Amino acid sequence: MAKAPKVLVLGWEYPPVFSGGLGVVTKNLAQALVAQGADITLVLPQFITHKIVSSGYDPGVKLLTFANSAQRYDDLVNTIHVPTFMYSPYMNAGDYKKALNQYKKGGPDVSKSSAESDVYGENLWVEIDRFAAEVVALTGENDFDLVHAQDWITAEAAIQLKVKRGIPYIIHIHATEVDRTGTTNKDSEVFKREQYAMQQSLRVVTVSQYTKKILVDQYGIDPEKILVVYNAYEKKVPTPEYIKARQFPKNKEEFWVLFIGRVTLQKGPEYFVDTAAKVVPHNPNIHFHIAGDGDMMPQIRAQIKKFGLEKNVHCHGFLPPAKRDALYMLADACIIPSVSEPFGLTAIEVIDHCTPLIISKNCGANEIIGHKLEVDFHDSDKMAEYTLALQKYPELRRTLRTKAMDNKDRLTWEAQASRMMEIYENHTSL
Amino acid sequence: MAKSICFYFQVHQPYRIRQHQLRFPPENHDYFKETTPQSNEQIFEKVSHKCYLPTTELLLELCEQYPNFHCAFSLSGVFVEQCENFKRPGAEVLENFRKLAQTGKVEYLGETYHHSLSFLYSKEEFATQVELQRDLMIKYFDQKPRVFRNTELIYRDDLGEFIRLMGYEGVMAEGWATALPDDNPNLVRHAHSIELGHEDHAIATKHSISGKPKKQLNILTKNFLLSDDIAFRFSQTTNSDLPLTAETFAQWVDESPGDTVNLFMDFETFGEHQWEDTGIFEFLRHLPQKCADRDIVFRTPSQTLDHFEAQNNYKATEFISWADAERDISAWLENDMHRNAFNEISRIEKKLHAHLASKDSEIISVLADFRKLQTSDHLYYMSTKFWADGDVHTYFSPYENPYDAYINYMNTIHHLDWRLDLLLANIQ
Repeated sequence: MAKAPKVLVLGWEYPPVFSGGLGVVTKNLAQALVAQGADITLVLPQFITHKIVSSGYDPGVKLLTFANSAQRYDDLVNTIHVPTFMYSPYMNAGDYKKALNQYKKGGPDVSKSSAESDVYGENLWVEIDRFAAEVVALTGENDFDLVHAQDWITAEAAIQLKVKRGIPYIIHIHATEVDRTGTTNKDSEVFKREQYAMQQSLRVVTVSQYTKKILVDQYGIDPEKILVVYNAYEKKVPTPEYIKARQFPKNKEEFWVLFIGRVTLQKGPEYFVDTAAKVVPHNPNIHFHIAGDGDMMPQIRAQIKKFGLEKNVHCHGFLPPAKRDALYMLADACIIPSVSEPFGLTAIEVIDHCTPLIISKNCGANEIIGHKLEVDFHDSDKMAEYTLALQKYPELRRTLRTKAMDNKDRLTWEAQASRMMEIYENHTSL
Repeated sequence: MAKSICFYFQVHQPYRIRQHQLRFPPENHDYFKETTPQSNEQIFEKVSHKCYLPTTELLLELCEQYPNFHCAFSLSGVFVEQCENFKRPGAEVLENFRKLAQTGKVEYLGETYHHSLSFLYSKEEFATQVELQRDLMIKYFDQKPRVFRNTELIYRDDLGEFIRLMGYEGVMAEGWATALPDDNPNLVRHAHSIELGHEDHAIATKHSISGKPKKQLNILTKNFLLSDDIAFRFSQTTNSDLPLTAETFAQWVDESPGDTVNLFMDFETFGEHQWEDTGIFEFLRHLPQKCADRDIVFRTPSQTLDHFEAQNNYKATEFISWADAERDISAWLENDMHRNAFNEISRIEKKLHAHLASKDSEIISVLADFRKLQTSDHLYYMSTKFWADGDVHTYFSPYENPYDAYINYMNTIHHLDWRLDLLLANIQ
């Protein structure tokens, strides 16, 4: 039998510290891979950013509290922390500059010395290079068979490891610039970096056929080189916080519709509010809840005001996982109007809570969810009809709830990890 | 004794329902006009040209050419109605069916006018719909149906008894192992006789078509293997024996043990489910000669029942149908949406019960719409059985998914219910 593949995984976030789905994927996949015999070392950026968070920067990263702790996050996965300031996989060059400036200026809570902050690159691209160099240096002692990079932001480190130490890499694409910005500007720095990283990689792994199509059509990547490994359901045990959070005040007469996700162009929050505007005149007992925050929040608030929906559309900001889970539970329906979503872990979480789901056709998770109501992301008329029908017909909700369970058993992290294992072994046994 | 083939073709087209939004209730109640993505008329015209016209013409030729060729049809009332409404090409289609009747070699069977599941919710409604279809068969074909087939071959012992009391001699059913004592579909069977409750007995007797019911109801059971070789597997290229030739098929029939090979299928098999380029018409054209070469004759259901001695019981304590792998009624009545739609039909049926003979034109109009909504296809579209995998099966439905089917159906039937309430309030 071949020896266990020794893989260096370049990650970004790790529960309980994360701002998006990438952390969830990284954790579940890494643990399942270790259980199947892979030797995994996970690189995580060591965040020193909690002070910035408390000074009110990006609410999307509220939870970055493990920054200074040195503990291992589980017994199986070795983690190496590399200090960097690129704390969010969703950040762009502008975000980086803004955050760094704010950090250097220092809020009332910031007590770091200026010497420490000088470590970080003056812009995102410099910081990426610095991070890559740190990773190469840190892993100098170890012999890895393969590097498994996540998205473009870690790609430079993978490329450096390939050039300097001859370790091949696979790149796991969870989201592309096309999804994030909604445009297909092939001259943007990020687009070019994504494209180059995929061209240089041994294999590209992505999370849906939907994304594979984007990689082929927009990035010109050879379809033979791309493998689809879907994300999966996470087995959860109800925590005390969750049970407590379930005591959300909810009037029995009310029908709750949820939007959960970052309030940003990619997620289509304005179509959620458009839907509310078309539903509420027909049924004022239907309430719309937005759980999440992001750059479009001012626009969303203005839209709510314009339509006079203050009584029916409620903005909760970013919610901790236990509260979010509770909302899934209490909601009568959930809408995911994403403009473009490579996978959409939120969809899986909705199904996991057996909540009826109205979901955009441009969402990779659709490929593995049988029972849902599918719409074009901009079709607020159809979303409004579905919402009213869900409210009016309990049997529709019940059928969606019971059928949601249908293929849950088949879609496990174990199954997805064994697909990854195959990919690892194919390349390490060469 | 020479073996025979009993061909029966199901001819049915539902009235599909137009899109009905909750936010914008319709101004009129033309529920079955301007349906999307295709109108009922467009679909009828398309199927007429691909199937109804060429196949009836071919069958007319075969009836003329082969003395031993016979077959049977079951025409739903809503199909005949569409022939009447969509005159081009409906009139021609209906004329071809009349010509087939005039050859004396084609039998027309009884069924519910609306191709409905009415036996499951109202015996009175069921019997009424059977009578309505019967009247049509007499009007157009001068035939009084002797043999009955229920929607999608749905059968249970009590249905058999009900039909016997109504005066029918035979019934068609699926040749499914749970009901057959020896698993051979190629023999004529006795129905397992049971006694009906007093109320059902009275309804059946009230709607009887003959003075005295037959002592024994006999059953013809579908040979689903050989039927599906034509209906579903004809153009499958993976089977080594395919493309299926008339010669090979005649041989299979010859080798199948028993008296009668009952080939029951949708008429649309010819030209619509199996397109012309698969060679399905050539297959049918040559089948009578290839069968004659082996001394196999064709008999109508009535001829088959008269010719062969019935043996052993066909016993169905649960509903059996010809649908899906389960052969039960789960295609129409399995999930919560099904049950809800079913309950709504049942509830409105009770409301209308006292007004069935009403001369009020508004009531007549509501009743006609309501009966079109009882067509089983509407419930079939709501089936979630094929959706577990998330991939869209090629699904014979005008809807993108079972949920759209349910929502549109409920929006429509609630609108009808609202109309009915207004009417009844005015009457009282």
